Amino acid sequence: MLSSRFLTNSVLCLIAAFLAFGLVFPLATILVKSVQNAEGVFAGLENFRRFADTPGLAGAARNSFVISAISTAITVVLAFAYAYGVMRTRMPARALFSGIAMIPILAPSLLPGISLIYLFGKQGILRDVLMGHPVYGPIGIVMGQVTFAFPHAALILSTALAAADQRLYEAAISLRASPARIFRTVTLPGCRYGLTSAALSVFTISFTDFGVPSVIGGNYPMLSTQIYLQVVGRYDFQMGAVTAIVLLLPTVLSFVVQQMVQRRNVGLVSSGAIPLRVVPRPALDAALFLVCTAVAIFLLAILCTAGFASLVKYWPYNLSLSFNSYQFSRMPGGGWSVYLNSWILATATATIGTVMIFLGAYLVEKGEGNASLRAAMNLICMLPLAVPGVVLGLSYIFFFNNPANPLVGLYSTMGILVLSSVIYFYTVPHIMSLTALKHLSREFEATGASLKVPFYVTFFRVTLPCCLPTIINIWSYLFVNAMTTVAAVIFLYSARTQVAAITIVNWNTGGALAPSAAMSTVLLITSASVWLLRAWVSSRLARRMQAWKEPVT
Amino acid sequence: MTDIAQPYLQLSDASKSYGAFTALDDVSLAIGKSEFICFLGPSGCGKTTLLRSIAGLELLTSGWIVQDGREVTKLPPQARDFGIVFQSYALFPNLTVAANVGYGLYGRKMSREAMRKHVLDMLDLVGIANQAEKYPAQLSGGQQQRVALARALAISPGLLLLDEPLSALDTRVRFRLRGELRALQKRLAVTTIMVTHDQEEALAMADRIVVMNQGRVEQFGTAPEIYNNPATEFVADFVGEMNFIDAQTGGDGAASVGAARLALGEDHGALARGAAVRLAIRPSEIVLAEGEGDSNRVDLTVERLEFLGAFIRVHASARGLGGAALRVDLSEAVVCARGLAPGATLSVALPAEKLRLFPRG
Repeated sequence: MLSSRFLTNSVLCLIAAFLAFGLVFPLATILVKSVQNAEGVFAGLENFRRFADTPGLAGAARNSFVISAISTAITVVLAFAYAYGVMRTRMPARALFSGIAMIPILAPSLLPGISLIYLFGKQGILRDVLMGHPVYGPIGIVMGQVTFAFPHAALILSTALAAADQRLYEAAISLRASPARIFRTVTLPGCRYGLTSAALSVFTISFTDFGVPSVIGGNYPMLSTQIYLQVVGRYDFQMGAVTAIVLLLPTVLSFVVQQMVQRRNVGLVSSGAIPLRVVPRPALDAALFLVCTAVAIFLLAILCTAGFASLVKYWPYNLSLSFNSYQFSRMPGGGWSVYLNSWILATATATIGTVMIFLGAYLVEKGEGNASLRAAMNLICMLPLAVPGVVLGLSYIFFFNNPANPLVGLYSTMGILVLSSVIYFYTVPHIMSLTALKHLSREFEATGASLKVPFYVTFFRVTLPCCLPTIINIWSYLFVNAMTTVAAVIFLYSARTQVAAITIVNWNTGGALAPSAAMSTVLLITSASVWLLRAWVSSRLARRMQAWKEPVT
Repeated sequence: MTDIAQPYLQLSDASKSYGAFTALDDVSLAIGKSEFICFLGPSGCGKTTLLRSIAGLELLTSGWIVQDGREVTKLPPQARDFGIVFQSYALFPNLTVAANVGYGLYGRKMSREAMRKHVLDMLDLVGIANQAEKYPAQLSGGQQQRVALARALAISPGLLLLDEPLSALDTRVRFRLRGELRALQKRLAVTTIMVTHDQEEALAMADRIVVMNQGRVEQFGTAPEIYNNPATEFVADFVGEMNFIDAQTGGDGAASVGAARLALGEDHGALARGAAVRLAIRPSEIVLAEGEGDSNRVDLTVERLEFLGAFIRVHASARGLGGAALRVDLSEAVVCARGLAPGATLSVALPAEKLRLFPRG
């Protein structure tokens, strides 16, 4: 029999190496590049001085901050009202609303931009609403980012609002507090961590997003598009590296703050808490129903416009149905092969990522010995959340496209796209795995050992079946994200490995709006189908697992 | 009791520390074959760490463990011979009762039929053969406990380890299982170690009890030994109810408390005259004074009566002993006959042979 210690240690080292080569070393290369000149000689802060002196770049940094701050404020306020309506009122259609809020997650971030062009662009049907202001630029970017980031904020705030203690509200009422005072002194403090977390997440998403500004940004410079311009347009890798660091700093900062917030968030709702009983409050329920309806219609309009526009002959003048926009083979560098590439990327990312991430989390959580390596790995697993996709992509150029690197063969293959996608989306599935594993008794492994059964038998017969619902969620999370991502792969694709989301960017840049809309719709439908399939499989599984969970009476 | 000259399990100078914290401090024990041993102590005393060290789930920092003539100190759990029942039972939720019990038969050269029969025999042994196809979540707490026990016994271990196996159950089930568990252990004659923080459980079940405190063994003996002759003040305080009276040794087999003098049963010559000591006597050992001539007669002022069903516990202060607080257990009949109420006076005697003496440090 293979020594179990040897086996677990080998796998642990393998995953540690994967994280080192996929994340730590490439990021380190960016830091090095940012303080070198074009010849690779140490230049101190010279590059940063040049960055500050280049009006386009310094301006882009300012724009990114301002726009992200505005998007964050709007998103958090809307998402809080929306989540409050869904979780804390008795208004009708709450389940439907909570479902609609999640749809934007399934779309590529380019899709809101494309829809906004159709709605408010030069030939947009709602152009006059903007009173002569162009949608290309700040207005469009903010609208797109709000749409794109909304589900994340809504999800975090719903979770925060779901955890409430009825006893606190009863105590407040019995002390004769007014509803406004109760909201201020009980509700808000109860979800202040959720609010902080939502604000930081939305800021990070907006600040690093590539899709929205690349479609609707016009000539308005943003950091995430400037970095692309510096590298792909000007071959100025030094400026690229500096821009990457400017992009990285706020996200790392918000990541650190978020970790601190999370650590302080434990035990806010004690185990003895009584779940909140939500009572009808007709006036408030009606008001929030209107707010939620408006938001839901806006989200649906954004999502459906692209789909609808892609199905008509000539928007907005000839609205008769046609599949012309779906003739992808007529498009340059197109055809359905890019869609096939997307499938390969998404399937490979989901499959390899699920195995890797779950095994890694298992060893971090249940492993023995190597305590410091496991703690370090856990920290590194959290890091990808703070790394913008374009920064990760750029770091891969520096790290892998280097003749001295023995892994140079990986460059411009599908492999590097899969690697960057797995790493880019690593953190959330890692946390999902840890949560599921923590729910299992610590004694399972010890029991297996006491019964003289090798640990991997217990892993396959007990741990894995118990975590199957989580594993399915992880697989579909990775699939959907890899299917729609632009940021993680924009620097890394080659002619042979171009995926559909990239193709949309290229067509859109070339002015082919209708095919872009069509391809976005195809991606949205693909993601939605996988998501529905996941829901179906999960519910089937839940029914089968019922017997282990609930006592029969 | 078995011959301890040939112990089945022997621990020598077993120590375990986590950084600066010492969980086990030089523990040495010899346990005979087929004995039922309880590790008793407050939470954090190291009893569970000691059990897990015997299982190999923790490795000792120093010292060694010999089981059945074989040194197992550094062996992983898989290479040792034991079955364990955890406090949480750790039943695999996705496997049926039968699959849980048969889990340890993996890889044995047994026919499917023989395995099934063995599993059913085990379930029969613990009295839940009719639940074989259910999942753990569909069973009551007591039934889950039996499954965990059957699973541990299915591999016919030489040593059975029980980590607070009854503490998650409600009182009635716990009382019933206590008897069943002991009877089963006698029948199988399997050497058993049970960790518990419930002294009543330990006194009722164990052949011998290991009382632990702060990683050390305070006393190792039978239930009557532990209860009647506690080796340390800790054991005296932890097991059963005990009154403590601060005193000084007075020489000539007596102790002085303030002006009063209390005769002691045994000679405590080892202690210097005037040494600070603590006298201990159980509330049930204090008797009513017969007359003026009683030795160790003490006058009490009753402060409070506590009705405890079988008897009434009188909380009082001993005027003669500098106001020391004493508890005395009296029958309801006596309390009524004497008309005891808060403020009343009561004369009692502290029998010299029951007065235990511990050095005060």
